[in-house]
Order: sequence, then structure tokens, then C-alpha cells
Amino acid sequence: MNYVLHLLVYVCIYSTATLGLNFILGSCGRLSLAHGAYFAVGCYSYALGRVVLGLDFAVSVGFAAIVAAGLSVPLAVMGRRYRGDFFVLMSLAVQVLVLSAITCWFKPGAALGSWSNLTNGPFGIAGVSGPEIAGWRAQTPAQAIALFLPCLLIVGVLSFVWLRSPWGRTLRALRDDELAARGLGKPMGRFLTQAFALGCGFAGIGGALYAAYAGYIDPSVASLDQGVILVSMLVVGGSGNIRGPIVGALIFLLLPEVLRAVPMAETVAASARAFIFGILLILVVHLRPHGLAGVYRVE
Amino acid sequence: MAYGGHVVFCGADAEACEGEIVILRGDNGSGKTTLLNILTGNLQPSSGFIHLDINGGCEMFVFPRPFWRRLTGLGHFAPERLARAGLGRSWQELRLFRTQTVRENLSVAVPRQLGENPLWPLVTPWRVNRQEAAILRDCERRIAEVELTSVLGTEHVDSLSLGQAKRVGVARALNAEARILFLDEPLAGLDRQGRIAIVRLLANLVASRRLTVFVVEHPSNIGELLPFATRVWTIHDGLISQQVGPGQKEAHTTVGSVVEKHWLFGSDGPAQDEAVDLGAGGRLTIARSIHGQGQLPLLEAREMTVSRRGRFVIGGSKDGSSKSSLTLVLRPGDIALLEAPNGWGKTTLLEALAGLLPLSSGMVRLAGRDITAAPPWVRRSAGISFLRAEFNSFPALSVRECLSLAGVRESPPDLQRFLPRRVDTLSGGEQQRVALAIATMGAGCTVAVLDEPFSSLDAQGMAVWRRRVLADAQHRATLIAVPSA
Amino acid sequence: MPQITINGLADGLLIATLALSFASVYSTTGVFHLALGALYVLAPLVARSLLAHQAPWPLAIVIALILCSMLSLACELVNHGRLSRRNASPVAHLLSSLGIYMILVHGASMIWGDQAQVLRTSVDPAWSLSSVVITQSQVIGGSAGLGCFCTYCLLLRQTRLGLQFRAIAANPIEAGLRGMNVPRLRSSAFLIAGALAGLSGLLSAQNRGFRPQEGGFLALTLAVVAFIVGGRRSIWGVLLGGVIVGLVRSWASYLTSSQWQDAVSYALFVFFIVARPRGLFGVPQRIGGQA
Repeated sequence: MNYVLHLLVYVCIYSTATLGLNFILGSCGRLSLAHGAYFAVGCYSYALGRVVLGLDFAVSVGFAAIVAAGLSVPLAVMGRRYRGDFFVLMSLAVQVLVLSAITCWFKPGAALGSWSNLTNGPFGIAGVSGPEIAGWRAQTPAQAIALFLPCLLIVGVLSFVWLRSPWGRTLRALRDDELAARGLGKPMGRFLTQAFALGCGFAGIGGALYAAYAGYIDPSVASLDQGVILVSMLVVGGSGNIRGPIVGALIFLLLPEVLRAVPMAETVAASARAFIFGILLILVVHLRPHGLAGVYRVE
Repeated sequence: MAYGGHVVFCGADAEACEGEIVILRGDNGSGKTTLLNILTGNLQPSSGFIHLDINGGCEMFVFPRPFWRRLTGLGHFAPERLARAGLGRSWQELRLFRTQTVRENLSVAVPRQLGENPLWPLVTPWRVNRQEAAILRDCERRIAEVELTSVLGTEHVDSLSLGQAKRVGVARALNAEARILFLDEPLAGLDRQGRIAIVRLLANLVASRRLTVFVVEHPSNIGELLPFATRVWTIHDGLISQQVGPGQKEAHTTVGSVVEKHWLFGSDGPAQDEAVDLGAGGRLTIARSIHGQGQLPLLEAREMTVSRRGRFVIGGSKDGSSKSSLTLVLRPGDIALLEAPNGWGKTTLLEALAGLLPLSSGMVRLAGRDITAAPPWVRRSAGISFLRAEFNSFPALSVRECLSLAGVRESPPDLQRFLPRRVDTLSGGEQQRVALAIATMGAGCTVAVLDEPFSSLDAQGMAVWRRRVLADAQHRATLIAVPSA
Repeated sequence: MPQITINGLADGLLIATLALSFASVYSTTGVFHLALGALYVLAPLVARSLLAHQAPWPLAIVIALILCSMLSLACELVNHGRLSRRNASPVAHLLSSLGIYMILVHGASMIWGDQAQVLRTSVDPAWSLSSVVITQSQVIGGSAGLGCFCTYCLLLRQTRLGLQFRAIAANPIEAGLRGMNVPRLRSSAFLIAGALAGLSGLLSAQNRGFRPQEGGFLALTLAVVAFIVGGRRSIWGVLLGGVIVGLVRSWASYLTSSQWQDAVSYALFVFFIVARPRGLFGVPQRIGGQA
């Protein structure tokens, strides 16, 4: 039972991040492999907020969201000019830069959080305080869910409101036909910047929740794998609405449980999940472009 | 304005006032769409300046843009800026938002929506909803203006007919509070009824709202529009000449834009003649040769219908006037001429014959062999050679390489001096001659299907190629498509 | 100091070879063949297993290359060819390519495990010329890379197949209309690209060892950077682009730390895209012509 709750915590975390990617891929039509990097930015911002600045839980999560949203601006600027192949490369560039920054920004012996050692490099940050509200600390997975689920709900409701609003409609128009929408007076740059900021902000929140739950983070949270996993979750689950991303996260996290029925070594099992998701990705693109529960067709 | 070395405009300037209907007239390639794109901010001129005077505020834009402006992307002569100032446009290829309903297409266009800032739907949803309701009411009114109330609830814009879709496009531009409307070939592809309806709509809009409307149209389509026009800009050789007052239909003097039947076939005319009216302005004339009469047909197309994106282009009924499905039989020595206005679907028909588009129904046979489902290369080796109207060469290859690829054994004498040169270094007319050589002189070509083959040739090139095409025509079947007068 | 340059040059030639394999698919079909990164790490894995089973090394190389070609061909037949016929968007091609990459890399991981490996178990002989040391694997890698380029250039310029490749690259629809069997040509391009990627992987593994998990993606993206720096048009541009990337990495690693070499390569890429999109040898595209 505890294990199921543990899984649900991760569902909350990854759903939040995927709902963010939904704005970038589903509403703007741009494939970004940098989402994992913003997730990591969220992790580290939360950790530094808690450990170095001594902020409490909600404020740290907010801090993480703001930092991630702020760092999304370069990506949005590039998103204005490029779509498709080139934008993916740009997002890869951002991802690598963030990973390098996180891995290299440290000096042995210097204090964590100081200018010369922002991230503690390969050693990571340990002892990150967990989720708590008004003094009550969440110790078990069940208690963590009590705090994370409302976060997911808030993010979900926000996504729902924004997707249905005129803002979402105009964003979709810009996605469908940029020239026509611009010819109607819609400023491409502003909408894209907003969408990216919100999307990366959600990724930051997801990262913050992850750091809160795990208690320890290191540069591996910024690896390219993270970005690829988030993209595959979104595409398989479906984009353009709020059901799709959550379904994608659910499937991704529950898949290893299903795989337990098949006897295989532990190391193999870890790769098997990514292997299966690769197959699902191809099947979705060919047979069901709107994913399992989404509305936007990636074709 | 220059494109890769081809000068399109040189010192063009003109003017127009409120409440006018201005027609931009010019032949294919004269640059009218280029001018339209420049004026709506979608294209930047190579040099010169544009003086914009809207609502009292004056601004001057200089081209080419200096380096720092290109980087920041601010303060440009950009489409969205112009649109907000009241300049709207419709597109030749429609560009409706395909994943959205008709209602959404119209609602999106409304400017200054509260809900477009993500903050307000969260903080003050009631105000946003009130504005949405007002927008929806406006949409209903607008759609009534363009006389399309019945389609307001349509889910998929693809299911609209061409005429309806064009009117939705105009309504959308109006919703964006355009005071100046640029319409790019609004009459193309419509039959006579549809054209009259649109022209009437424009006249009403201009009269009731004092709009200024610029219409870019091909000369073959503007018949119905000319009486309403208050000004006509004719684009020719890179310059614009103005005419105030209702325009007169101009006789065509430009070489190559229209090929008339007797010109093509020469004064010694074909043995027999067949003329078929294909509906909506399309006409097929076939000159049958004597010695081909008893022989088996080279090309047989029976009851062809072709649709693009769910809409019938060839065959099926359109806007009340039906275009029958196409049946065409050509024997050795036959020359067929397809004349139709722009937007009728000549290219669609020819591409279906060539294998680039699938047939919705019907059958195509080449010398008895069924090629309905065959891909283009199989059709080519079976003998049918297609020359496209545009993008019909290999820019990065040399002329010699192109000819060898096509299996042309002996290069034509007028192309000898181009052999080592790359195709993209040649002029438009020279490239077209290379393309004609590749399409008609390749090995094993028994049926030649040519889409506007002479459009960018000069008089000499046309004479040479006409002779060649006619000389070869004795043993093969030829189908040529041209825009009608 | 010149040692760093020599190392950069050697690495650059290997990057250039992978870039050539990427370019041969991208310029003829427009497909972003991410799976090449997986083939880059798969070839050394296969070769290593074969060598461990006492296979002679020429056989191991040939089998590895054939396997890579076949897998690349499968990508086209099963995936990209089908999507192209449906006029799918580049995003669809990219996502499916990503899926194939995941399948290949994680499939390999399931079979062979995850750790970093080395292909060469013996000591690498080296020669010193004045102040620099050149190893045998560098020489082999560099000359094989150059050999690939020369062969490919000959193929493009002198053979009918090469002419047809250039024709599809210039205008795929027109090529079909002129009787060229477009699907077959695409398949050939994918086949050749697979072999080149495998070769590049083998040479690189011979030089330095390889990491199955992330090494492939990183190598492929460096190859793409090389392709773009070189201008996307000519084969020799690709070679020069690869050499430049190799040199930049080598010098960056020396001047800062090896962690930053990737970041510097990407910064170079961003610089080229923003300031000079046509690369070193490309031509400016018309306004509106954008990726």
C-alpha cells in the first residue's frame, strides 16, 4: 500500500511537469527536449531556497516556479524564429548548457549557495527538507500526497482555465497557421513567451516537488533522459487537454508494475520501460497521433 | 524588390483613398502577389521605404532593415502591427484555422480581448465571460453580413465549400476590425455565380462601411469586378500604372500568358476538332490527327474525379454548378488543349494524371495498361511525361546532368551553350526551356502532359518550342493546360 | 599546444564522418535521423561481442556495419517512408525517430548492460613527431574518415546513383516525375548512412571507448552542429564543420574543463544559427525560408 502511495507521489510530480510541456508542445506545436532541464532548475531552486535561504515549503516551490519561468525566456526567443528540427536543436542546446552549468558550478571547499559554488556540482545537494505546511511535516508518502495532490489539482485547474480561455484559443490559432494569425494582429512573440513561461514554470514546480520528496538531488536530474521521458509521456498520453498529460504520466509510472509480471533482472527492467515507451511513441505517431487521451494531433 | 537576382519591382509607387475598390492587375509573374505581401508586411522589399499614415500617426520604414532592428524584432513593419492598425487580408490559399470551428475562427480574430492575457481569466472570469458573449453575438452578426448564417455551427472548416470558406475568410478579416482589406485572388476557383456573389458582397461592404478594398486578381478573373472598381493598378515590367474610374478590360499583349487555339495549332489547322465544355469556365479542345484515328488510344482517362482535403476539385458538384467527371481519350497524334481560369483545378487534374495525386474515382490507362494506382516513376517509364508549372527543375544540377537524368540522348541545339552551367544560374525563360527539353525529349515519352509550358518564355523561345512540340506530336499524345483569357 | 590541435583534428574527423552520415540522409530526404546516434554505439557493442567470441576483427567490423545498415534501412521502410507518404510534419518524423532511438539504445542496454566500454584491449601504438604524439587509432580514424569523404564525393559526382541522390535532394517530386524510383533511392541513402554511422562509432570506440547510454545522442548532436556550421550544402563543408567542432572542443577542454566542452560546442551552434544561419559555405535563403 505504501508503495502504491509512493508511486502516486511520483504521478503527481511528473503530471505537473507534463502539464507544463503540454503548453509548449500541445499549444505552441514546438517539440522541446529542454523540459528536463527546467525540471532540474526547479529542483535546484527549491533545494537552494530551503537549504540556503531557509524559505518554507510553499514559498520555495513558488521560488522554483519563478526561476524556471524566468530562464525560459531564451528558449521562447528562439521559439519565435524556429519550429520543427531547428527548435529541437536549440532546446537541446539549452538542456546541455543547463546540465553543464549545474555540473560545473562548484568549487570544493566553498559554501553551498555562494557565488562560486551554486550547485555543489557532482556531489549534489543533500538534506533538502521535505514538504511541510504550517509546521506540520509530511513524513510518509500518504502525508506527502496530502500536500502534493492539491498542488497537482491547482496546476490542473490553471491549465484547464487557460486552455479554454481566449488566450488558449489564440495560441492554438498561432500554432495552426502563424501567418494567418499574425495577419489578424496577434503578436506571436508575446503569446509564445507567456506559454513558455507558464510551461517551464510548471516544470519548475514539478522539480521542486521532486526535490522535496527525494531529499537529495544531483546533476542527473538534468540529464537528457529526463527531457526525453517527459516528451514521450506527453506524446503517448496525448496533448492539448489536461487528461492526456496525466494519463501519460500514469502509464509511464505504472508500467514497471505491469512489467513485474515478467521475470527479468533489475537492470534490464529499468531499460525495458524506456524500450517500451519508444515503441509506444512510434505507434502513437503512426496510428493515433492524438495520443491515448489528447486532442492535438502530432502529424 | 529583388528575388535572388530577379528584379521584380523597380521604383514602384502609387496611392489610394478611403472607400475605394482598387484592383491590382497583372499577369502571372508580374509581381502582384509580391506587392500584396510587401504591403501587408509579410515580405520585405530589398530597398526603398514605406510611408505609413494611419489614424493621424505617421511613420516611415526604411529597407533593408539595419542590423539591430533585425535582432530585436521590435517596431517592424510587421503583419501584426499593420493588422492592429486596421489592415486586413485574405489569403489565396484561405488559411483558415483547421483545428477550430467556424465560430472559433471568427472569435479569434477580434482584437483586444481581455481573455488573451492569461491573468484575467483567472482573476476576473466574469468580465472575460461577458466579453466572450458579446464577441459571439458579434460573430453572428458578421456571419449574417456575409450571408452564411447556416454554417456558423460547423465543426470542421474543411467541410465548407470553397465559396463559403472564402466568405468566412473575409468575415474573419472584418472581425479583426480591418479598415483596409487586401484580398488575394478572392474569385479564383469559383464559378460564375460564386464570383458574382463575392463581388456583390464586396460592393455592399465598401458602401456600408467605407472600407478600402484592394483586390489582387488575375486578368482572366476580373470580368465581374471591373465595373465596381474605382481605381486600377496595372503591374507590368516592374512598374505600376494607375487608372482612375471603372476599369476597361485590357487586351492581352504579354507574350506567353495565354495560348490561343489557332496560334498553337497553326494556320494549317488540325484535321478534326472536338470542343468539350467542362463547366465553371473550363474548356477542352482536342485536335484529332487523321492517322491516329484507327489506332489504340495512348491515354485513356475515364470518369476521373479528384478531391483535395475533402473538397472535390475535379468532378462532383460545386456551389450548385456541377463539373462533370472527366473523360479523356487521346490517340497518337492528338493534341488536347485545356483552357480554364486560375483556380479551376488544371494543375490538380494534371497532377492526378501524373500520379502525384490520387483519384477519388475513375481510371487512367496508358496504352491499355492500367496505371490508376501507379506511382509517378512507374508512369514515366510507361511513357507519360509531366511538366509541372512551377518548381520543375533541379536547381543544383547542371543542365547536362539534368538532360542525362531524363534520358535525353541529343541535347537540343539552343541549349548547347548552357550545358555546363547550373540550372539555378539561368534566367527564368532559360530554365523553362531546359524543363521543356527534359519533359518532352526524354527517352520513351509517348504522352506529354504540360502545365502552362510556355508561360515564362520569350517570343523566340516560344516559337522554337512550339515547333518542336508540334513536330514530336505526330507520334505521341499531347495535353497542354493554359489559363483562359 | 599543437598536441591539443592534433587531438582536436583527429576527433573532428570522426565527428565529420558521423556528420556525413547524417547529411546523406538529411539532404536527400529531409529526415532528422536520430537513430544514427544509436547505431553509433551499437556497432562497437556488436563488434566487441564478436571479438570476445574470437571472431577475426575484419569479420567483426563487416558484420557490425551490415547490421547498422540493415537497421537504418528498417527505419526508412517501417517508419520514415510511411510518414513521408502521408506528408507528415517534421515533428512527427522527429518523435518517431526519437522512439527508434530509445528502442535501439535501451534494447542494447538490455542485452549488453550499461557501463562504459572499450573496444581496443591492447595498447595503442604511438609515434612522436617533434613535440606531438599521434596514436595509431587516431591515424586509422583520420584516414578512414577522409577515405569516407572522398568515396562519398566520388559517388555523388561520378556515379549515376550519386546524380540521382543529388536530384532527389534538389527536387524530390520532379525526380519521381523523371522516372527515378524515389522510395528505392531513399532506402539507399538510409543504408549508406547506417554504414557510415556504424563506421564512425567503431573508429571512435577504437580511439577512446564509448558510453552506450548517452554517448550516441551526444555524438549525433555534435555531428548536427558540424553539419550546420559547414553550411548544409556541400560535402566538404561538412568535413570542415566537423574539424572545427573537434578543434573547438579540444581547445575548450584544455582551457576550461572537460565538462564545458559540450556547452561550448552548443554555444558555437547557437552562434551560427543566430548570426550566420547559412554556415560557412551555404547560401542565404530567401526571406521566409526558415527551418
